Amino acid sequence: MKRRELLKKTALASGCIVATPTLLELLVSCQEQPTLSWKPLFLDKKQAFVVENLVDLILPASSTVGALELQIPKFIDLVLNDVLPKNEQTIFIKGAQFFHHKFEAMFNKAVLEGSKDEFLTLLSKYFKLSAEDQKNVFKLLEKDEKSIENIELYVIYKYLTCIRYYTLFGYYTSKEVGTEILNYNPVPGEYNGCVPVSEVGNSSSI
Amino acid sequence: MNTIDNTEIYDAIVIGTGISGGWAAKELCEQGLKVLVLERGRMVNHITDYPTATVDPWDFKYRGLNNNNDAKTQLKQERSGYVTQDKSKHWFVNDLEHPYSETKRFDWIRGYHVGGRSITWGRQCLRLSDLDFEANKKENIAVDWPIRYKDIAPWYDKVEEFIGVSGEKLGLPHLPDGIFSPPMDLNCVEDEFRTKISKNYSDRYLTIGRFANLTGDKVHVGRSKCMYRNRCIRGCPFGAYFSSNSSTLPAAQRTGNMTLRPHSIVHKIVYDTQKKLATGVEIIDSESHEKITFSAKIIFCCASTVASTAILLNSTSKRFPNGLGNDSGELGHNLMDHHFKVGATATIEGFDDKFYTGRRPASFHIPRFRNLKETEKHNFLRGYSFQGSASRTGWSRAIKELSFGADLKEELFKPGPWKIGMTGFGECLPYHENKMVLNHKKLNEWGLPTVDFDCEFKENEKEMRKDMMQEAVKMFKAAGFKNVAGYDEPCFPGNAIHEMGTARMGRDPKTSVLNKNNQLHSVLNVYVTDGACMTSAAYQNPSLTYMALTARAAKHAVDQLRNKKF
Repeated sequence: MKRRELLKKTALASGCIVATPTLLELLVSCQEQPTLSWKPLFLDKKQAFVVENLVDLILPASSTVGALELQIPKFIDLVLNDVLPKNEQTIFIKGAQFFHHKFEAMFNKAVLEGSKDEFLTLLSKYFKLSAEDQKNVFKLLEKDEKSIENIELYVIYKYLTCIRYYTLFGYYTSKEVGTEILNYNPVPGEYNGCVPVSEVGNSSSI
Repeated sequence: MNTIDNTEIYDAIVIGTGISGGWAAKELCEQGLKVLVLERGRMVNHITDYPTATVDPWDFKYRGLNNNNDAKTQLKQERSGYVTQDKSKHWFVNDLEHPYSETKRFDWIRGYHVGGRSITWGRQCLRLSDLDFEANKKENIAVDWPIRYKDIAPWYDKVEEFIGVSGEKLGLPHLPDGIFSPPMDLNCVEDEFRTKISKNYSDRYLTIGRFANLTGDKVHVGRSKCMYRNRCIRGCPFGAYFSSNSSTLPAAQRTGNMTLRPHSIVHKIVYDTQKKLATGVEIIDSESHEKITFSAKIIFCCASTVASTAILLNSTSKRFPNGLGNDSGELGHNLMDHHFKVGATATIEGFDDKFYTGRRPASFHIPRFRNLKETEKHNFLRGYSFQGSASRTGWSRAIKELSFGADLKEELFKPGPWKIGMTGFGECLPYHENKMVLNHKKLNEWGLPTVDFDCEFKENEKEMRKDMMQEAVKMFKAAGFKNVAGYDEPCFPGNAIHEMGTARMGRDPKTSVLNKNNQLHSVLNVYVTDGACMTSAAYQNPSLTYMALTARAAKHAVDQLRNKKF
């Protein structure tokens, strides 16, 4: 399992002693680092590492396959590179930077040394909200960047909801989920407008 | 392709292979005429040239998302909101190669290839009625249609029988029944909505839409029944929905009378002052840039509303300095479309134990209920319908949440709560000032003038939209649905891809371009039978009417030819 390998490497890397981020990068660069099993087109190594951790938290492996195993981080990187317009790319990078700073401030260490639990702690700070507060977040995100007072919070949420959206999108439109878990019937042959849900099971993938 | 004889005088030339051109080709060929069919775009063979027909989401590199490189080439096509996805973008033009300009915004969504937009059309088949044909006259708007329902009714019959339309008879005078194969099912929630509407309103009905998808057992050559894949826009390997490629062009081909020439950009119809008739067309081969003239006794303009009129405007001569057949000055004017993107959405409680199987390529339809009686008073003339559907939500129901983790993942495999949505399709009045003109300052790669649009929705449409949203909300609320939310999104002409008008039919050559047989008043062997001919828009999806008018005009042309009129 690639995910487990990644976790092991993350654990090894997290033994570092913390200094300022700049100094830390120098330190880290001569130690064993988490490595990616793929070559990003858009993200740098640090950004990709955090995206991998977040993707794994959003849709983890359980009795069914997780998003990491389906290479969703690689898909997100492709979308960022080839699909998102320039302004959204810029906001994503800004959001990543702020999120990294938040991580470093909270745990007093470099993001590349972050553990799954630590990312969970930080992600929960943003995502574990009441339904009402969640609604407010999406209201905030509908606004134009120029009209925003707390730009930091705005871009962090842009960043996190972008990762969350493309994690879900990539996962549920993947071949594995689409043909093995969801209901896959390329040629139904008939339409029945009203049948017991028990006869159908899961949602249709196409 | 270069081997096609340009010294022969064809009986007829058909310009365009879309929904109208296909019908002209079929009808003229089946009557024994030798027909040259010209298409400006590439060849598309039925089935073998539908590259995405069986492609699943995961087979697309971007899972169907539109990537930036491709998007740059289709910025205007993208305004449609859906056609530039991976599954269908190859059916729509490259805007850089085929530019146009806008004095006012007009979303001109085009498909340049054999079959045109008949491959990607919405397939909804609704007849116009005398409520529509008489409206201009009664309200003193624009000019009177030169035909009435009885003139077109037999042609609707003929077209429906050939293309195959599934639907339900309602017996409504303002939405005449046609020849239908069995209707598709409504799902449980739509059925509930239908029941509630019948209970809450004496004059409103909900029915499954009338769609050109085959149901039942009637045999259509080379085609088979709908498999409920709902991938029509990609081209159907079963030929289950009607398109020129699956139906009319093969029928024309079978006669042995059709010569089809793709890559042929018709830019001018040649006029003979002595004969007072057209003698042929001039084309540019889109690939070789070679110029060729083809001769024929009859010309059918079926290049699409805007393209047919552009050809006529460009066909100037001493006799017609403002465009062929443009004595009235109306050519290019009275451009219309439907306005839509206004309606409501809601959620439905209950029905958690109900689902559906198969993917129905059809929406429900609520026929027009406004201004059916002359005594009705509203802030607007004419009316609108609603089209919509109910469904159980999939994983995307979680987009506007911040939930995460294994439980979320498992939950989203299952069908979610029901939702329902509908949009109005409203009639747009014909306004003389809504127009297209040729832009001689901006030439395309073949040195031909491009088109400039100056068209907008006006007060009547805006007032109608208020009512559309209000009534959609009321109907959902009255049905007991929850979270009812109205919407009225910006909607620009062209966006419904129902552009029509610009060479209207009429009784008087002084105020219209075409007569009751779709002939140019002043050049009788030139017929225009695509959307350009429409005198008013009505609220109905218009393709069925274009097909019926084309078949009717083809019969007329054949009779004229046999009587040595041309």
